[in-house]
Amino acid sequence: MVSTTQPKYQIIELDPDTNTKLKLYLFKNVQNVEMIRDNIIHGVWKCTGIKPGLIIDPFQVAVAANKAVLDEKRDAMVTRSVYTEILYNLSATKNISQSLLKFGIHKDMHILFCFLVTEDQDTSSEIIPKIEGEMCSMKDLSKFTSFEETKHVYKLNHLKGNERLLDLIVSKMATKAFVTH
Amino acid sequence: MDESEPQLLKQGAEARVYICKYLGKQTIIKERFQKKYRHPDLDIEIVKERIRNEARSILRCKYANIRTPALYLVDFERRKIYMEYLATNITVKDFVIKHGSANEHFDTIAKMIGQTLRKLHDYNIVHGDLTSSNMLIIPKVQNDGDWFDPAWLAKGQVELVMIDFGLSYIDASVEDKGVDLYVLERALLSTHSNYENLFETILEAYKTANPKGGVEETISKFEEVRARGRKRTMIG
Ligand SMILES: Nc1ncnc2c1ncn2[C@@H]1O[C@H](COP(=O)(O)OP(=O)(O)O)[C@@H](O)[C@H]1O
Ligand SMILES: [Mg+2]
Repeated sequence: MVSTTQPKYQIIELDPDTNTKLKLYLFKNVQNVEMIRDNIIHGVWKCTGIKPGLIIDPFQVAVAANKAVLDEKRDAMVTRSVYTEILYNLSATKNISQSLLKFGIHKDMHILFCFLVTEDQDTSSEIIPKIEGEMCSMKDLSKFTSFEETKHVYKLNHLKGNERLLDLIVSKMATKAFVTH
Repeated sequence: MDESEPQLLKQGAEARVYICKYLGKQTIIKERFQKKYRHPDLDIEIVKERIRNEARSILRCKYANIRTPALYLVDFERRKIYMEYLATNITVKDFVIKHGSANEHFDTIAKMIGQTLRKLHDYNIVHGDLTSSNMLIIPKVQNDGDWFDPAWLAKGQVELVMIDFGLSYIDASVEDKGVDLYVLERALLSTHSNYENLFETILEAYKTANPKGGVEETISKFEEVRARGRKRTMIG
């Protein structure tokens, strides 16, 4: 039996009060990054493009997206849209432009796409076909992760081993509003 | 059972602890409820302060290499902290009650506690509510079950987790550290009155845990506080 279009995305349910799900797609060797970036930056495409090199686990994105949708609902966002808010929340610092620069895409060939899906909206079905690249399984995410760079970005260079890295990263993200990292 | 419905795990004097599926993981939700006897504005301030202290110290412990639950969301509006659920655990309290000092691993646990508290204090964190229910023993690798096998202790496969940091503070003085130890001694004496040597073993490990020393002042403060406490009990 030939399996044809097996879905390769991952879905994570966010806070129940938001009725929103996070949908993640991983692409490699993307050829039309400039067009993608333009569309995202100008808000034409409702999604976030993340550098997969700094993501060690989809859960890291879930923590960032969850706070973003909650803060959107409460009118408490720091940035202009819920999609940039995800990038801001991924960072452990409060520097907005630095956060967007570090976690967002520029000339990257590999991109992790995040969509916020609700009962009546799923923009991924229109956007995904326009990505000129190779869709990967989320299991392959670790192939793109640079632990060294990730530790550097989160100021965790001294950390021995990587078993506690996800714990530290999400805990830093969750506390940055009231702890200076 | 619907896993996305919060299940009440513990009802305390200040907080309710729930287990709930959140962001695809089994999660602990700690909610600090309103105390009716407090003025609402004051209540909010106190709760915010507790939540902030708890989250801050949980994070700081990680830098000190002390295992604490991972933080997923700190929500001041809902008065809740969402954190990692360590499903396979036994509180030190339950361990001592269940297995008692007859257990060959009793000393191992006491030493782990002493060493962990020393790391905590060397990092200038004072816990503020040291009791045997605010320490969990977990296997280094979490398994799916929620049972705990004491045999893991023999193989060094366990670690100590510190929780419940609402009354904690950072940049503590030696006096504060001494009081922290005294609070633990009192708590152990009342919860585990039949195991007098428990605290002594912990204290011994605390003293010797860091070869760099620098603990004498804390110990003498502790002894001072303890002497004051004794006097008070004799009078009262
Ligand atoms: N992260 C966790 N994983 C597993 N059990 C936990 C966790 N946090 C708390 N508990 C359980 O809930 C109890 C109460 O939590 P705690 O934070 O100490 O709240 P309280 O302030 O009410 O004492 C603990 O003694 C422990 O049994
Ligand atoms: Mg407690």
